[in-house]
Amino acid sequence: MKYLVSLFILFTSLFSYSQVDFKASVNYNKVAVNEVFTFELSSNVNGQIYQPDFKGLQIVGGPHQSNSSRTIIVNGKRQAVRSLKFTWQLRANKKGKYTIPPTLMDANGKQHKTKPITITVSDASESQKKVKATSDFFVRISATKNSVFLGEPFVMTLKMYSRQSPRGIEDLRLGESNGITKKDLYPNKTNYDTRIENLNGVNYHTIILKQELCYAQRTGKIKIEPYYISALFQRGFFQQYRQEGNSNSLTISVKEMPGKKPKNYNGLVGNFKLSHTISKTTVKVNEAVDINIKISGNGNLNLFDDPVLDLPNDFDQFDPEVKNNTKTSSSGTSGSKSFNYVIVPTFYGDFEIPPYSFSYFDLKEKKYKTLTTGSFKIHVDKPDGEASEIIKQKQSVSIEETDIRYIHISDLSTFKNSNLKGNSFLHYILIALPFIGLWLVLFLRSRNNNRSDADKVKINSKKAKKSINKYLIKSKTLHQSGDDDEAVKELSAALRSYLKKKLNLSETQLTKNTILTHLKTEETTMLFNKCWTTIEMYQYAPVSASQVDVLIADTETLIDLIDG
Amino acid sequence: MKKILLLIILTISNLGFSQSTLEKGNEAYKAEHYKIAIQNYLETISNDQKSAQLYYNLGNSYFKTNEIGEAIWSYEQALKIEPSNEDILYNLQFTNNLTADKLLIETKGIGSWLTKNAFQFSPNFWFYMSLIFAFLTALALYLFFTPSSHLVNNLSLLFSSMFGLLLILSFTFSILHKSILTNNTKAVIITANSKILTSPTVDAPTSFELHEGAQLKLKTIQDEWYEVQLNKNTGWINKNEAWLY
Repeated sequence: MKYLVSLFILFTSLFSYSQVDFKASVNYNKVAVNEVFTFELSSNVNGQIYQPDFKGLQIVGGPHQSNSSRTIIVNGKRQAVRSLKFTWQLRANKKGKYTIPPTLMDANGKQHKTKPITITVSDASESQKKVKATSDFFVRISATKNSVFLGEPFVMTLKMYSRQSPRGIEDLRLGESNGITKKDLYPNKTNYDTRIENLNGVNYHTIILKQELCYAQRTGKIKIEPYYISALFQRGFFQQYRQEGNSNSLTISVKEMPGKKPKNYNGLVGNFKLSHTISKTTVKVNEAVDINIKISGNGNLNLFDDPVLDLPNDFDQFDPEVKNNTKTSSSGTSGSKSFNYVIVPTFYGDFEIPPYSFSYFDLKEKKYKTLTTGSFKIHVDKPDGEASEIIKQKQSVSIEETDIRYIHISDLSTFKNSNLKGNSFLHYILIALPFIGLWLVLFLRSRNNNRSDADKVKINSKKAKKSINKYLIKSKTLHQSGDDDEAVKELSAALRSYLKKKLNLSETQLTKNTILTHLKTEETTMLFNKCWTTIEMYQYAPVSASQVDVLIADTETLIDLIDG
Repeated sequence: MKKILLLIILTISNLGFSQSTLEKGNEAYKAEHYKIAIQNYLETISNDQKSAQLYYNLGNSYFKTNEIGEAIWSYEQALKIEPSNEDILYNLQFTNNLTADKLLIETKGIGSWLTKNAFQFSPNFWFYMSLIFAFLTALALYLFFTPSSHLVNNLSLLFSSMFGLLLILSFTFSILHKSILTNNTKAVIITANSKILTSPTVDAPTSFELHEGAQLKLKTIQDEWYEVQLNKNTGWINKNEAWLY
């Protein structure tokens, strides 16, 4: 402590330097009581350095001076790099915070200053495990924004800090983050720049291992899990050792966009422009038309779906030719995407392709915007030639059914359960009715038939006289004309037919004896005998005309008598 | 006298302009006020009015308000009255596709063929047909019993037996049709998800779980519970969770 070195007069510099790099550093800024640590002043120029004031810290050793110089020839240009170092070994006797104030150096006519360094001195036990182990080597992730809109880009950086210059990265595992899409900004990076960063007085070698462009896909708090890194370091000349560690974790809060979400919004955020061109608006059938839709701007362009043109059925469409001219930078994806559609009309007429539109969220104005192309009007000429050549094939009418069918309005008639007539008493009665009717009719008819069996004879016998009359008249006329043979034959037939009907006899029963049994009075029997005998006689011998007269008269009397 | 005349005119004009609840429902549906449409249709049904169109429109209204279970119930009711109506079949199928459970719905077999073809006519069709066939059978029998030529005799015998068969068939159909229209044999679940329990008590263990729109066979009704069947599995469901059709 009592050493007082007023000044170091050093060599004047041989080369001029554009920049003076004068730094102070410690190897640990968190130490235990009585733990020895190193304070180092380094400069790349020669200058006058004033004795640093250690403010209560005990100097254990030093200052040790080391000097090195290199000469680098780059592209034939000589450059000498000089480095000058002074080191002290320091120690604290008591717990507490110590601040080493800036050290001054005069060089090139100017005064240079280091930054102040704060040393935390703690109890031996707690410090040694946690502080030393982590502060030698640690990994950090950081995001450019901690609060974003859905789909708003932000950049996440993974940085490794180590006291020693690393030999190589052995392993790197990305932490999970559900709901964030990440895109590596430098996916093919092989060369890592090592920089020296002074963190609270301690010099660290830092490497930016990864920079990722991120988009949140859902709202709420999204946690990015720690990243894991294992790096190799060299100790001595041959010895290698490994250090590994997990980074911190991050929480990003993702906000929903304000305002009502448009229907054709699919997550695009940024600032976009839409343009469209059509090659021709008047074409012939089967002539190709180019429609170009171009979207350009800045934002999550990768989410942009291929535009779907709502083409009429009379157009053939081919897959669009997509030109992707985007580049990813830390501010998001920017550039343009163009879609070239080739459509071919297969039928003539005037067609209109409805406009294509999409919506996005404007980050600057914080509201939804919708971009729309104009509608495309195409006139397709009738092809030359006869009509029969025009239509090639029948098209099946395509029907798209995406909803239920509409209600029925025309029919307002309803019925009630009580209107249902089946399986009721009425039903049975109505079915039975025709059969009851049938039975009644048949019953009546059969009764009618039974009665007439007896009556039939009466009716027949009543009719018998009527039917016999014409035979009698005929036989009379035959007799008057002198044809007695025929007259008797007629008379015989008339009598037989009369008796048959009157007495209800069959042909075989028509004998004299049977007939006689049916005749009731003596008078009729006598008269019948007389007539029958005369007729039978007449078959063998001729009879006089007077006898025929008597026979006709007798027969008439007989019939009258039988008839009563 | 003038007052009476005025009264008569008023009543007549009132009759002319007053809409039935069914028409009101249709108007509400056209204006996309589906909830009002449902109210009107349900009021029509509660007045013991029914028709395929009414249930079909009700089903559409339920569909538009995202009540899948009720929509299926309505379409099934409509289908009972008009089993071969293309629109009803289409909408029912469309709605069935939105249900969560994959159930086998019987659409083949003689039963459904019969339903589709025999019961597609108006509710009293088979009643009238049975009456016609009863009359024709009696007529043919009368001809058969009346003595006449052999040909007429034989023909009348043939016709009477034919009409007799048709009479039996149409009579059976009329009874069946009425029982189909008036009895409930199935249940459809109307709550978002529903537990089918092993016994009709609230704390009974769950037999299986189903979602809105699933259709089950109804076995018995007991107090507040329906006993239902699905692929030979039976269980009990609370009356509030299913509608019968």
